Amino acid sequence: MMPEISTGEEETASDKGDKGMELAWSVKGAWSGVAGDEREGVIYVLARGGKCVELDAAGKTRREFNLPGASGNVLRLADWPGEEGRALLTFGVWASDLQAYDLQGKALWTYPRSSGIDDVWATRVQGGKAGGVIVGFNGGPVCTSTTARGRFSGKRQPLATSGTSVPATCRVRGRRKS
Amino acid sequence: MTTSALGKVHVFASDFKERSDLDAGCYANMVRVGKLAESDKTATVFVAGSALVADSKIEIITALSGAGDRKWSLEIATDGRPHVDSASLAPGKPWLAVAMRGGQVHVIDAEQGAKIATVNAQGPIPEIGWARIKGSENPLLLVATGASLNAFRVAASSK
Repeated sequence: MMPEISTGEEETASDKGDKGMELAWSVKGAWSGVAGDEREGVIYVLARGGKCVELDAAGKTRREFNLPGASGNVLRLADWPGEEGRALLTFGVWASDLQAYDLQGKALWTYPRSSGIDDVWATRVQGGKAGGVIVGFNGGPVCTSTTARGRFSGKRQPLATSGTSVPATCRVRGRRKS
Repeated sequence: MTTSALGKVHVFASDFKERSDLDAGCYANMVRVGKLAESDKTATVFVAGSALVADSKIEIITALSGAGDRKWSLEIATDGRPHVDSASLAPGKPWLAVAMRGGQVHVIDAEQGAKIATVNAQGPIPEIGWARIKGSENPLLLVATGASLNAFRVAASSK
Protein backbone atom coordinates (compact mmCIF):
# COMPACT_ATOMS: atom_id res chain seq x y z
CA MET A 1 0.00 0.00 0.00
CA MET A 2 1.33 3.43 -0.96
CA PRO A 3 1.87 5.98 1.81
CA GLU A 4 -0.80 8.67 1.97
CA ILE A 5 0.42 12.20 1.17
CA SER A 6 -1.27 15.32 2.43
CA THR A 7 -0.31 18.89 1.64
CA GLY A 8 0.28 21.46 4.32
CA GLU A 9 -2.78 23.51 3.49
CA GLU A 10 -4.92 22.15 6.30
CA GLU A 11 -2.23 22.66 8.92
CA THR A 12 -2.42 25.67 11.20
CA ALA A 13 1.09 25.93 12.52
CA SER A 14 1.06 29.46 13.86
CA ASP A 15 -1.20 28.70 16.82
CA LYS A 16 1.35 26.20 18.16
CA GLY A 17 4.12 28.78 18.40
CA ASP A 18 5.71 27.67 15.15
CA LYS A 19 7.48 30.29 13.09
CA GLY A 20 9.58 30.60 9.99
CA MET A 21 8.51 27.27 8.50
CA GLU A 22 5.54 26.00 6.56
CA LEU A 23 4.53 22.43 5.96
CA ALA A 24 5.09 21.53 2.30
CA TRP A 25 3.78 17.99 2.52
CA SER A 26 3.40 15.11 4.92
CA VAL A 27 3.40 11.34 4.43
CA LYS A 28 1.66 9.28 7.09
CA GLY A 29 3.43 6.21 8.39
CA ALA A 30 5.55 5.04 11.31
CA TRP A 31 8.68 6.63 9.84
CA SER A 32 11.52 6.76 12.31
CA GLY A 33 14.50 7.48 10.08
CA VAL A 34 15.08 9.74 7.09
CA ALA A 35 17.97 10.49 4.74
CA GLY A 36 18.04 12.95 1.86
CA ASP A 37 20.00 12.01 -1.23
CA GLU A 38 21.56 15.28 -2.40
CA ARG A 39 22.98 13.76 -5.56
CA GLU A 40 19.79 12.20 -6.92
CA GLY A 41 17.31 14.55 -5.27
CA VAL A 42 15.38 11.74 -3.60
CA ILE A 43 14.50 10.88 -0.01
CA TYR A 44 14.74 7.56 1.82
CA VAL A 45 12.53 6.90 4.83
CA LEU A 46 12.64 3.93 7.17
CA ALA A 47 10.01 2.36 9.41
CA ARG A 48 10.68 -0.27 12.07
CA GLY A 49 10.88 -3.74 10.61
CA GLY A 50 12.94 -2.57 7.67
CA LYS A 51 10.25 -1.04 5.46
CA CYS A 52 11.95 1.55 3.29
CA VAL A 53 10.44 3.96 0.76
CA GLU A 54 12.13 6.17 -1.80
CA LEU A 55 10.26 9.45 -2.31
CA ASP A 56 10.78 12.34 -4.66
CA ALA A 57 11.10 15.90 -3.35
CA ALA A 58 7.32 16.34 -3.63
CA GLY A 59 6.71 13.43 -1.27
CA LYS A 60 5.59 11.05 -4.02
CA THR A 61 6.56 7.41 -3.67
CA ARG A 62 9.03 6.24 -6.30
CA ARG A 63 9.41 2.72 -4.91
CA GLU A 64 9.09 0.61 -1.79
CA PHE A 65 11.52 -2.05 -0.70
CA ASN A 66 12.57 -3.92 2.42
CA LEU A 67 15.82 -4.01 4.30
CA PRO A 68 15.69 -7.66 5.40
CA GLY A 69 16.53 -8.17 9.05
CA ALA A 70 16.94 -4.46 9.73
CA SER A 71 16.40 -3.81 13.41
CA GLY A 72 17.32 -0.14 13.61
CA ASN A 73 15.17 2.95 13.50
CA VAL A 74 17.80 5.46 12.36
CA LEU A 75 18.87 5.76 8.72
CA ARG A 76 22.04 7.12 7.15
CA LEU A 77 22.93 7.31 3.47
CA ALA A 78 26.58 6.58 2.72
CA ASP A 79 28.12 7.98 -0.44
CA TRP A 80 31.44 6.22 -0.82
CA PRO A 81 33.90 6.67 -3.66
CA GLY A 82 34.56 4.17 -6.41
CA GLU A 83 32.95 0.79 -6.60
CA GLU A 84 31.93 0.86 -2.96
CA GLY A 85 29.21 3.22 -4.09
CA ARG A 86 26.27 4.16 -1.98
CA ALA A 87 24.58 2.30 0.84
CA LEU A 88 21.90 2.64 3.48
CA LEU A 89 23.06 2.21 7.08
CA THR A 90 20.60 1.42 9.85
CA PHE A 91 21.02 1.25 13.60
CA GLY A 92 19.14 1.98 16.80
CA VAL A 93 20.31 4.29 19.57
CA TRP A 94 21.67 2.17 22.44
CA ALA A 95 21.12 -0.91 20.29
CA SER A 96 23.68 -3.43 19.05
CA ASP A 97 23.47 -3.80 15.31
CA LEU A 98 24.78 -1.58 12.56
CA GLN A 99 23.63 -2.96 9.24
CA ALA A 100 24.47 -1.88 5.69
CA TYR A 101 22.35 -2.43 2.58
CA ASP A 102 22.66 -1.45 -1.03
CA LEU A 103 20.02 0.84 -2.50
CA GLN A 104 18.01 -2.15 -3.71
CA GLY A 105 17.76 -3.49 -0.15
CA LYS A 106 20.36 -6.25 -0.47
CA ALA A 107 22.15 -6.85 2.85
CA LEU A 108 25.86 -6.02 2.55
CA TRP A 109 27.25 -6.51 6.03
CA THR A 110 26.56 -6.24 9.74
CA TYR A 111 29.14 -4.68 11.99
CA PRO A 112 30.37 -6.99 14.79
CA ARG A 113 27.77 -6.78 17.56
CA SER A 114 28.65 -4.37 20.30
CA SER A 115 26.10 -2.90 22.63
CA GLY A 116 25.17 0.74 23.02
CA ILE A 117 25.51 2.47 19.65
CA ASP A 118 24.99 6.22 20.01
CA ASP A 119 25.53 7.37 16.47
CA VAL A 120 26.97 6.35 13.14
CA TRP A 121 28.48 8.50 10.43
CA ALA A 122 29.52 7.46 6.94
CA THR A 123 32.72 9.10 5.80
CA ARG A 124 35.62 9.00 3.41
CA VAL A 125 39.12 8.07 4.49
CA GLN A 126 42.60 7.86 2.94
CA GLY A 127 42.31 11.33 1.48
CA GLY A 128 38.80 10.72 0.19
CA LYS A 129 39.80 7.66 -1.83
CA ALA A 130 38.06 5.05 0.35
CA GLY A 131 34.83 4.77 2.26
CA GLY A 132 34.52 4.30 5.98
CA VAL A 133 32.10 4.38 8.86
CA ILE A 134 32.65 5.95 12.27
CA VAL A 135 30.67 4.28 15.03
CA GLY A 136 30.20 5.83 18.44
CA PHE A 137 29.33 3.66 21.42
CA ASN A 138 27.83 4.56 24.76
CA GLY A 139 30.13 2.98 27.29
CA GLY A 140 33.59 1.54 26.93
CA PRO A 141 35.39 2.24 23.68
CA VAL A 142 33.53 5.22 22.31
CA CYS A 143 34.72 5.57 18.79
CA THR A 144 35.73 3.04 16.20
CA SER A 145 35.85 2.82 12.46
CA THR A 146 35.19 0.27 9.84
CA THR A 147 35.71 0.10 6.11
CA ALA A 148 32.89 0.66 3.65
CA ARG A 149 32.77 -3.13 3.20
CA GLY A 150 32.28 -3.76 6.89
CA ARG A 151 35.75 -4.91 7.77
CA PHE A 152 36.57 -3.85 11.30
CA SER A 153 39.61 -1.61 11.11
CA GLY A 154 40.70 -2.33 14.65
CA LYS A 155 41.01 1.32 15.51
CA ARG A 156 38.90 1.57 18.60
CA GLN A 157 39.71 4.58 20.68
CA PRO A 158 38.89 4.24 24.36
CA LEU A 159 38.39 7.43 26.34
CA ALA A 160 38.84 7.80 30.07
CA THR A 161 35.18 7.28 30.85
CA SER A 162 32.18 5.70 29.28
CA GLY A 163 29.65 7.98 27.73
CA THR A 164 27.86 9.45 24.82
CA SER A 165 29.58 9.36 21.52
CA VAL A 166 28.27 11.17 18.50
CA PRO A 167 30.77 10.96 15.70
CA ALA A 168 31.22 13.24 12.78
CA THR A 169 34.02 13.78 10.35
CA CYS A 170 35.47 16.58 8.33
CA ARG A 171 38.60 18.56 7.69
CA VAL A 172 38.82 21.07 10.51
CA ARG A 173 42.45 22.16 10.64
CA GLY A 174 43.80 21.83 7.17
CA ARG A 175 44.34 18.11 7.60
CA ARG A 176 41.79 15.35 7.78
CA LYS A 177 40.42 14.57 11.21
CA SER A 178 38.04 11.76 12.10
CA MET B 1 35.31 13.78 16.07
CA THR B 2 33.11 12.72 18.92
CA THR B 3 31.69 13.63 22.31
CA SER B 4 31.87 11.54 25.45
CA ALA B 5 30.79 11.48 29.08
CA LEU B 6 33.53 14.03 29.71
CA GLY B 7 31.25 16.59 28.07
CA LYS B 8 34.00 17.65 25.67
CA VAL B 9 34.46 17.36 21.95
CA HIS B 10 37.30 15.03 21.02
CA VAL B 11 39.09 15.55 17.73
CA PHE B 12 41.01 12.53 16.48
CA ALA B 13 43.59 12.30 13.75
CA SER B 14 42.52 9.85 11.06
CA ASP B 15 44.89 7.21 12.45
CA PHE B 16 43.23 7.62 15.89
CA LYS B 17 46.65 8.09 17.47
CA GLU B 18 46.41 11.82 18.21
CA ARG B 19 43.53 13.40 20.08
CA SER B 20 42.75 16.92 21.19
CA ASP B 21 39.80 18.02 23.31
CA LEU B 22 37.66 21.10 22.70
CA ASP B 23 35.61 22.86 25.37
CA ALA B 24 32.26 23.99 23.98
CA GLY B 25 31.06 25.64 27.20
CA CYS B 26 28.35 23.04 27.72
CA TYR B 27 28.02 19.34 28.48
CA ALA B 28 28.48 18.35 24.86
CA ASN B 29 26.55 15.35 23.60
CA MET B 30 26.14 16.09 19.90
CA VAL B 31 28.66 17.22 17.32
CA ARG B 32 28.41 17.84 13.62
CA VAL B 33 30.93 19.41 11.26
CA GLY B 34 30.66 21.02 7.88
CA LYS B 35 31.61 23.89 5.62
CA LEU B 36 29.13 26.74 5.45
CA ALA B 37 30.32 27.85 2.02
CA GLU B 38 32.24 26.19 -0.80
CA SER B 39 34.98 28.76 -0.31
CA ASP B 40 35.59 27.81 3.34
CA LYS B 41 39.02 26.24 3.74
CA THR B 42 38.08 24.36 6.86
CA ALA B 43 34.85 23.20 8.40
CA THR B 44 33.01 24.63 11.37
CA VAL B 45 32.27 22.43 14.37
CA PHE B 46 28.71 22.59 15.75
CA VAL B 47 28.12 21.30 19.25
CA ALA B 48 24.94 20.81 21.27
CA GLY B 49 24.77 20.12 24.97
CA SER B 50 23.09 21.06 28.19
CA ALA B 51 24.17 24.08 30.23
CA LEU B 52 26.75 23.37 32.92
CA VAL B 53 24.27 24.01 35.72
CA ALA B 54 22.41 21.38 37.72
CA ASP B 55 18.84 20.73 36.54
CA SER B 56 19.22 23.26 33.75
CA LYS B 57 16.47 23.45 31.16
CA ILE B 58 18.75 25.26 28.74
CA GLU B 59 20.28 23.59 25.70
CA ILE B 60 23.33 25.32 24.27
CA ILE B 61 24.28 25.22 20.62
CA THR B 62 27.79 26.44 19.84
CA ALA B 63 29.91 26.89 16.74
CA LEU B 64 33.67 26.38 17.08
CA SER B 65 36.66 26.51 14.83
CA GLY B 66 38.72 23.34 14.59
CA ALA B 67 41.13 24.91 17.07
CA GLY B 68 38.29 25.37 19.56
CA ASP B 69 37.70 29.13 19.16
CA ARG B 70 34.06 29.95 19.79
CA LYS B 71 32.28 31.67 16.88
CA TRP B 72 28.86 31.94 18.49
CA SER B 73 26.68 30.36 21.14
CA LEU B 74 22.89 30.12 21.31
CA GLU B 75 20.74 29.20 24.29
CA ILE B 76 17.47 27.34 23.72
CA ALA B 77 15.02 27.10 26.60
CA THR B 78 13.14 23.80 26.92
CA ASP B 79 10.15 22.64 28.95
CA GLY B 80 11.84 19.47 30.11
CA ARG B 81 15.30 17.93 30.17
CA PRO B 82 17.18 19.46 27.26
CA HIS B 83 18.53 17.03 24.72
CA VAL B 84 19.26 17.18 21.00
CA ASP B 85 18.49 13.83 19.40
CA SER B 86 19.28 14.72 15.82
CA ALA B 87 21.19 17.49 14.05
CA SER B 88 21.86 18.14 10.40
CA LEU B 89 23.47 20.84 8.24
CA ALA B 90 21.51 21.88 5.17
CA PRO B 91 22.99 21.39 1.71
CA GLY B 92 23.67 24.68 -0.03
CA LYS B 93 22.49 26.95 2.80
CA PRO B 94 24.15 27.94 6.08
CA TRP B 95 21.38 26.34 8.13
CA LEU B 96 21.73 23.94 11.03
CA ALA B 97 18.62 21.99 12.06
CA VAL B 98 18.40 20.52 15.55
CA ALA B 99 15.65 18.21 16.78
CA MET B 100 14.98 18.27 20.50
CA ARG B 101 13.69 15.45 22.68
CA GLY B 102 9.95 16.05 22.99
CA GLY B 103 9.35 17.28 19.45
CA GLN B 104 10.70 20.79 18.93
CA VAL B 105 12.76 21.34 15.80
CA HIS B 106 14.77 24.52 15.24
CA VAL B 107 16.60 25.89 12.22
CA ILE B 108 19.57 28.07 13.13
CA ASP B 109 21.52 30.50 10.97
CA ALA B 110 24.82 28.66 11.22
CA GLU B 111 26.90 31.77 10.41
CA GLN B 112 25.34 34.07 13.00
CA GLY B 113 23.96 31.70 15.63
CA ALA B 114 20.40 33.07 15.40
CA LYS B 115 17.29 30.95 15.47
CA ILE B 116 15.38 31.52 12.23
CA ALA B 117 12.59 28.94 12.38
CA THR B 118 10.88 26.61 14.84
CA VAL B 119 8.27 23.89 14.59
CA ASN B 120 6.70 22.05 17.52
CA ALA B 121 5.01 18.69 18.10
CA GLN B 122 7.22 16.60 15.83
CA GLY B 123 7.04 13.40 17.89
CA PRO B 124 8.90 12.28 21.02
CA ILE B 125 12.26 11.68 19.28
CA PRO B 126 12.28 13.38 15.89
CA GLU B 127 14.89 12.45 13.30
CA ILE B 128 15.76 15.07 10.73
CA GLY B 129 17.36 15.47 7.33
CA TRP B 130 17.32 17.75 4.30
CA ALA B 131 16.29 17.35 0.68
CA ARG B 132 17.33 19.47 -2.25
CA ILE B 133 14.53 20.62 -4.54
CA LYS B 134 15.15 21.09 -8.25
CA GLY B 135 14.88 24.74 -9.21
CA SER B 136 15.03 26.03 -5.64
CA GLU B 137 18.06 27.12 -3.68
CA ASN B 138 16.28 26.38 -0.41
CA PRO B 139 16.27 22.74 0.67
CA LEU B 140 13.31 21.13 2.42
CA LEU B 141 13.64 20.22 6.08
CA LEU B 142 12.55 16.60 6.62
CA VAL B 143 11.28 15.37 9.99
CA ALA B 144 10.51 11.71 10.71
CA THR B 145 8.19 11.87 13.71
CA GLY B 146 7.38 8.18 14.19
CA ALA B 147 3.86 8.84 12.88
CA SER B 148 4.63 10.71 9.66
CA LEU B 149 7.35 12.20 7.51
CA ASN B 150 6.91 15.97 7.41
CA ALA B 151 8.62 18.23 4.87
CA PHE B 152 8.92 21.93 5.71
CA ARG B 153 9.89 24.97 3.69
CA VAL B 154 12.02 27.34 5.68
CA ALA B 155 10.64 30.85 5.09
CA ALA B 156 12.09 32.45 1.97
CA SER B 157 12.96 35.60 3.96
CA SER B 158 15.38 33.54 6.02
CA LYS B 159 18.99 33.84 4.94
